[in-house]
Amino acid sequence: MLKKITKKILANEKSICFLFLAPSLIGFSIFYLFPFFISFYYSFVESVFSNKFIGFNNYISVLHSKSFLRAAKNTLIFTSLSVPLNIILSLFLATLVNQKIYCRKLLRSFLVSPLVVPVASTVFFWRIMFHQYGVVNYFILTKDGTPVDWLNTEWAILVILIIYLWKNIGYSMLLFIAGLQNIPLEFYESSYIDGANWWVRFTRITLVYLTPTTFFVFIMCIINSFKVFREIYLMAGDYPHESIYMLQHYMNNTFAALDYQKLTSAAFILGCVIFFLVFCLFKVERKISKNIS
Amino acid sequence: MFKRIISVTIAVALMFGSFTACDITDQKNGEKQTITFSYFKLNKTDEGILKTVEKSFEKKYPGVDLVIKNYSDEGYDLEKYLTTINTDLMSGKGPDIFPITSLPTVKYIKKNIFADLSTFANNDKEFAQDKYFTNIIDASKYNNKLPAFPVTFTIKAFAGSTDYIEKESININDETWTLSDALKLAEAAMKDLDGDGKPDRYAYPKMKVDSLTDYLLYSENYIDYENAKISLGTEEFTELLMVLKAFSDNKLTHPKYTLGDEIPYQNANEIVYSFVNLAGYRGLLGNKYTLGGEDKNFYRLPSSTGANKYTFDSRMMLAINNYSKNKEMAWNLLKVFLSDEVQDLYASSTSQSGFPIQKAALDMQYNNVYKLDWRLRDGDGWGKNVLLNKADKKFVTDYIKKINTFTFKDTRIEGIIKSELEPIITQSTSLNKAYAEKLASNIRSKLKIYMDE
Repeated sequence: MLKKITKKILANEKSICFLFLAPSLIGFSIFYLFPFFISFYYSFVESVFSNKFIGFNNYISVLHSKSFLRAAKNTLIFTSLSVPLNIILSLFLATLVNQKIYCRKLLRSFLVSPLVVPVASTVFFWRIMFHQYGVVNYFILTKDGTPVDWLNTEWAILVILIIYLWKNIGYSMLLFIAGLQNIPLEFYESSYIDGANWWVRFTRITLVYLTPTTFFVFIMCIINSFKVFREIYLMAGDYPHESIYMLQHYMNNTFAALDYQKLTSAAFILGCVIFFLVFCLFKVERKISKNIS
Repeated sequence: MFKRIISVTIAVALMFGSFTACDITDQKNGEKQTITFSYFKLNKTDEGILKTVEKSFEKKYPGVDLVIKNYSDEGYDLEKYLTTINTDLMSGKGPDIFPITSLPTVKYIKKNIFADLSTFANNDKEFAQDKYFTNIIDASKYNNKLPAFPVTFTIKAFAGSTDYIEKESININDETWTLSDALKLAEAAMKDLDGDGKPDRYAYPKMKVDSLTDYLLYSENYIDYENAKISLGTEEFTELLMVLKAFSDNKLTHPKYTLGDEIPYQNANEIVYSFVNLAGYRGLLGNKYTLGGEDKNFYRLPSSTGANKYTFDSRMMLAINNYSKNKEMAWNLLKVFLSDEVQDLYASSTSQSGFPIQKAALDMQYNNVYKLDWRLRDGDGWGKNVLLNKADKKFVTDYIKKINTFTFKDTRIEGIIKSELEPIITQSTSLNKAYAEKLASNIRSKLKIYMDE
């Protein structure tokens, strides 16, 4: 009987697919899908204890929270500064190391090395650099300048931006290098014959054929810009200077304060914004790819 | 297909049914009711007394098993403890009764985590409230509800050398005095007696940032939790920081001794004032001992505004989990902590356990400590006696009668303030007004973010 059932299952291609997928589907459901729906449910109840349905009140309360709005504003500012900078700089470096230049391999390894440095060491290094009595202030003092408390002033966002770029440029650069190497050389050769200058080649060939890679890098940059919270948290704690108080701070702190309703509501608001952004990006990307093809 | 769905539903229903049946059977089998008391970092005395509480409780309620969970046993730091107890409470596995020390108390109160103990106290006919300091219990209320019950309490006070104050005819009106008044007294106390260009008499022992935050910042309600506001404006906050810095500055503090250090008898007259934490009468005597055995006059802590607030602190203030199924039994356990037997243990403890909340136990504690005759070593022999006197008792009893405020602590707020204060307290450089303003503004903005969350 068992043999028969096994045989029947194995004969069906769909069943075999499902069997192979089952372990990851079960894992995904337990660790992502069910918690997702449970969190969604929590965002509509008064508290985990009372389970009283209160509609969109939690969402309204989050949208009225000054801290949430400040965190959302800071996250938006940081993302809109860091992502374009990351793309521009990594594309520039990728184009540079893709040429036959001196120490090309060494430069490439040097730029990628921040990816493998543990976070604790990274944070330690940057703290020494930007501490009130750190290296940067030492140099400012030697030039008779006024030292700056980098992490406790409006300058904090610049520090975080530097750390983010230092950590993530290498990864984006690698993606761009892969994209650059996939552009057929024939296009460049024919453009030389046609007498196109470097700017025309860059804008009409390189940028156009890098569009799919750029979109991928763009999405990765956004994801990595959210991950910068780890460094901010380790450098400035759970209540940093108001200019670097991000959405993850808000969520982390609401968790610590037992405010799971606010936490889940904020997470869903953020999720919706990211979903909408990615959806629009893919729409644009498809349109451009269609035009290229 | 439909049949399959039905059969799976029935199977799942049966599974859940069997779990429910197990629960009922277990209760019918007479399994003991369990209540959990959890804590984080209690001192040895409180841990010792906890064992007596456990025995007394299980003797009185043989059908109930008291489980004691010590979070610090598992090597937890404060951050991990907070995360764990949050998760435990949210998952319904939280303790039934626990001390509120180290918790972000006000956020918990607003989340309705603590049961209103005044309801239990008022409805329990066996519980004689007048045996306890009712003004302290009233001061512990938040919005007319009693979230936690102080089992013992401590008093933070200002101590001055009796001898010095009498000789210099200093008059301190501690009902109205401010931090600036205390600063003026300190500046007047600094003196170069032998004319060698160095002071021989100092105002205070050195103070650490923890003590400063505790003694000065938390002796008042600077934070208006209800309206998510900071009562002090940036200007007032700046002034406060300048005074705080002055209290920890080398200009006023003894270069050798830090608050809490034992100051030898021979050097006792080198320091005339100190901020002290009176953890019971034994704690009061202990303070006299460590401050060189000199007799002390005790005063209410100076405030920044001169407001007439008499506050207290407590290391053992118990709350009951509002979502516990064993609230009644947890109240019974709390009553054991307040019983004559356990309060007497606090009264006769040989360590600084705090003042017991029961009136009779407080008298007993005074009588026990009054008999003590501690002596300071003076060279080769035993020298000066350190004794409790009637003036000490008068200060304590008068102060207790006037207690009208309790500042619910919030570990997160403390953390924010301490991390900002630390650099200015530990730095030897002076704090200028511009820097103090920036610091005050930073603290205010961080506290605002916290309260707006």
